[in-house]
Amino acid sequence: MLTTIAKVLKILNSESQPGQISMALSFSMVVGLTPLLSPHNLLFLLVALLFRVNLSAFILGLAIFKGVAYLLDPLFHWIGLSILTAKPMEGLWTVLYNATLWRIERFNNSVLMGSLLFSLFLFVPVYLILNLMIRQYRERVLEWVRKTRIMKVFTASKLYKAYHSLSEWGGTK
Amino acid sequence: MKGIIRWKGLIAFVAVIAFGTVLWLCFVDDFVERIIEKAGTWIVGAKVELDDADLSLFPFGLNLSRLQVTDPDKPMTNTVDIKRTVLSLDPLNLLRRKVIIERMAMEGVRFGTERKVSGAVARMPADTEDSSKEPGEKGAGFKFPSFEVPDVNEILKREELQSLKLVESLRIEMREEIQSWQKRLEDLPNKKDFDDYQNRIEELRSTKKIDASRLLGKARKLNSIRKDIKRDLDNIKSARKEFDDLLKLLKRRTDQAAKAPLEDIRRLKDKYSLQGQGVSNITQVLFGPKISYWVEGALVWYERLRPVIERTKQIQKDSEGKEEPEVIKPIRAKGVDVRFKEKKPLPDFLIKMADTSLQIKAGDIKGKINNITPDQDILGIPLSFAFSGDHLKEADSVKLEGELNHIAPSKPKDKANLRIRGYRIENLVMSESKELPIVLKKGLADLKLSVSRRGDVISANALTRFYSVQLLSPKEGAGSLIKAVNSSLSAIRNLNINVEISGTLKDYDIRLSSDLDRVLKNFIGKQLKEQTARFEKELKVAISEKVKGPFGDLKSDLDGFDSISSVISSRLEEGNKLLKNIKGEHPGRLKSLF
Repeated sequence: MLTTIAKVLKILNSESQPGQISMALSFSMVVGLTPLLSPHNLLFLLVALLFRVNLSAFILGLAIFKGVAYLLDPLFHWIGLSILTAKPMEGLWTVLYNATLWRIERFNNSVLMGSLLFSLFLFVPVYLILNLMIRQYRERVLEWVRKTRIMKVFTASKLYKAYHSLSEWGGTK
Repeated sequence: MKGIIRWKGLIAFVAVIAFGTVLWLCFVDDFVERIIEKAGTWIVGAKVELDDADLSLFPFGLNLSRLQVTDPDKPMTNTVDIKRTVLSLDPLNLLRRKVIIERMAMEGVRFGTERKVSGAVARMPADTEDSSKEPGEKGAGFKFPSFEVPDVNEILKREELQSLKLVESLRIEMREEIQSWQKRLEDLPNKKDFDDYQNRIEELRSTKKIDASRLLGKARKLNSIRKDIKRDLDNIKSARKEFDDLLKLLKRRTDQAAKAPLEDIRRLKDKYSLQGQGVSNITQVLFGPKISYWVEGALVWYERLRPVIERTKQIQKDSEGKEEPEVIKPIRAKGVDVRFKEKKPLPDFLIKMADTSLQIKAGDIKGKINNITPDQDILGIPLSFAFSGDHLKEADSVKLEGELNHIAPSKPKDKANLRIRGYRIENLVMSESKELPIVLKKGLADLKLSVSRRGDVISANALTRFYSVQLLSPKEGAGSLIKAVNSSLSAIRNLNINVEISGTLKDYDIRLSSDLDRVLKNFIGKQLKEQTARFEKELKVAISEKVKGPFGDLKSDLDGFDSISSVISSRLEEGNKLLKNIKGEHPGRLKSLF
């Protein structure tokens, strides 16, 4: 838990743009909440790697959202089943069902459909809210956190230095 | 643009994909192996093991080495053991999550092979009936008729003879009647009364030369005496009639009592003599349990294999009767898969054709199975199979063909025909009955079996013709009975056994008939006849001996009525004589009175 908090602080305190962090977390939300081995996750992974988002935030967010996904599975199942069995949508789903690409995607699974819709629906709001929160944090809390003893000890550690040098590649610039 | 895009990320993505592909290629075989073992174990309810699985990409297919399927009832035995299985898969349909196997070749398929380690699993997925019971434990047991003649003396000690009871009651009645008649004789006119009449007549006779008025008085008196005598005679006659009727009745009852021992003999013979019931259909009682065991085993496997040819589906219909998207629960996955109408419907799993080489005890048989799928309703073609083999190690020819039609899952239509010619049999235990085990030491057999199922109704007919057979009963003991049975069995050279099964899957009847019925029935019937005659003879002698005494007493009691009869007769004679004297004397004597 402490490690996770430290990692969060590390990311928040980094020189990454708030947009890079919140975008990474939004991507990780989609990948984390939907079944991991789904083909659409490859696309999100490609986007996360190709665009300059904070990879540390992406990996951390993935771990957190994956845990949350297990708790939300019943909700995803309910959403997915409702959408998939909705009469007005039947035509669309039938067309998709007959397309190989979508069959590979396994869109007709209730949990996958529910989680994908849920995460896509929250993608923009989460991005905007996180962006706002990071900005607020940096403006009002960051200085105070940097001055705390625990942060000083942490930033002076070898682990932090090694991590810092590696994370240079991960999106700061 | 340069600030937003991280080209190194593309390299990283490619690296991740490459790493995933390598990982997949390294572990996919193990993964497939595990999936097959796990799913197979779940379906069968016992360990399904695979030595190796090899997935090839060009051409796309799967090669399985030694697939062992444990028999759930015998964990140390494999139900089926397949040396090598080669599958050619349709890759495009696999991407659509449809396992379409264009061709499957199975080599070295053997049945009932031994396992080195137990293949039992802790949990059975399906509730299967306990079919592990030995055939002998099932069905009604055959009880060979005992040919021991029952001990007649023991029977007579236990049983109450009705004839004796009848004689006793008749004797009591007779004694009472004798007493009653003896008392009645005292009331009837006797010698003294007749002597009185005689004296009165004599007195009238002794009076001579009397006047006319006194003569008339005498005549009146004489007439009065005659009337009295007549009245007494009437009483005696009436008693005589009653007595004769009684005697007639008692004699008739005595005659009946004389026949009563015969009734006792019949009753005791029926009760204790050797029974022939249960030997009317020996084939049923001898072979029934074993045939039932085989049929139950076949039905258990039919039920176990049902998921391969039929999937449980929930077809939902809306208010207008149109089919709604179908919801199918995957075996193990989160959520449910919703199915929609396909333009070109294909089953989720289909083996279009399976070439199979079976290594059974009789020899190697080759055949084909077409259209193996649990979604026959989607494919619209039934599963069909055909196997055949000629000049086998143990048979001249074997031919098996059939069809499992579950296109309409609620109205399945299955049929199978098996024909075996010249099957060479050695030491086949035909009956495990404790009373009459039968072993077919040597022989040849032709089998013609046809099985069908329509809905829940099943019917089967199997005609097995055995020829050049050597039958024997290996029952312990060298009693005369066993020798006789063995002699009867050894005389059989040809034997036909017909099995007919009808009913439903859960409640069916098995009817068996064979030549053995006739042979053993004749033998047993002859034995029973001889022993029953002996028993009847002994019973007759013993009962006759037992009733001889009481019956003699009954006859002497009946003789007691003779003295009463003679008393009545003598009184009647005396009265008649007296009356005759009066009548005879009347004209002359009366004249003399004047």
